[in-house]
Amino acid sequence: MNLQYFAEGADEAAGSVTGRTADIGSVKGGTGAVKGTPKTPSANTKVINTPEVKAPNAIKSSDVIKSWDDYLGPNQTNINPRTGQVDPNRIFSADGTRSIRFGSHEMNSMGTPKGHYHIETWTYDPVTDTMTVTNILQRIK
Amino acid sequence: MKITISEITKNEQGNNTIKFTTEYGNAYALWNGSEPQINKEYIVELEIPGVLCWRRDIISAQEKYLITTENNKLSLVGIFESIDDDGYAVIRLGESIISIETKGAPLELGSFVKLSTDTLLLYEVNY
Repeated sequence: MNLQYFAEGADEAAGSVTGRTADIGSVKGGTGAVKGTPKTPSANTKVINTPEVKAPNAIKSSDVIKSWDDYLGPNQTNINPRTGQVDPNRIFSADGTRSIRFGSHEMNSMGTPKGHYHIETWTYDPVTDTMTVTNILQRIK
Repeated sequence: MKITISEITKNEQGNNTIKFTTEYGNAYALWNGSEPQINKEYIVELEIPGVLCWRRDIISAQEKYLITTENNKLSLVGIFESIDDDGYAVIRLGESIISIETKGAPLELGSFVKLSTDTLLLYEVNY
């Protein structure tokens, strides 16, 4: 993920993501409330997308990295909590329940009036083996 | 937005133009993502490049989400959800939104509008 677009501190923030090991046990294990072997997320888990919305206010580019760090917290990872694979378009929180999506589309939008990224949440239901993903479009000034 | 690809055409530059179906209709678009496969379902983000002019490229429409091709132009009908001071507007198509750059005097917020464009880009969103 290329974070060159953002203000000073971006390099350090990007470095803090790379190479970190995912700690998504709390997601994979589910609640443990179901009888038998609890299901865990996999590539076969069905994704449920809630309606996308736009954040009411744009964010300054100089505030983006801090906003991401505040949202994701420490020990960020690039491991997708559903597939267990590296996700080239996202940074996840350590528990895999929150992510920032900043892929090629978002990178290409930088420097234009459409500059943006996506703020997502991931909620796994082991009973139905579904992952509900919410999605907020955050515009960057 | 959830789409299913029904046709794929690769142009001289190696880019893929796809025909796709949605619950709101069918259209053509330039594809950005992994190598597309016919009859496979994808989640995509829509983008309309350039600046659209209100009352020329964006007009009032009937209250029904729609994606179609008319007179060699792509038409998308959705709800005009918001607009910023600089003309950056958001149009809702069902559970998805599309952001566009606009100029001119906007139509009524909350109303259904029809966007006409020569080019539609689809970006694959992997979950």
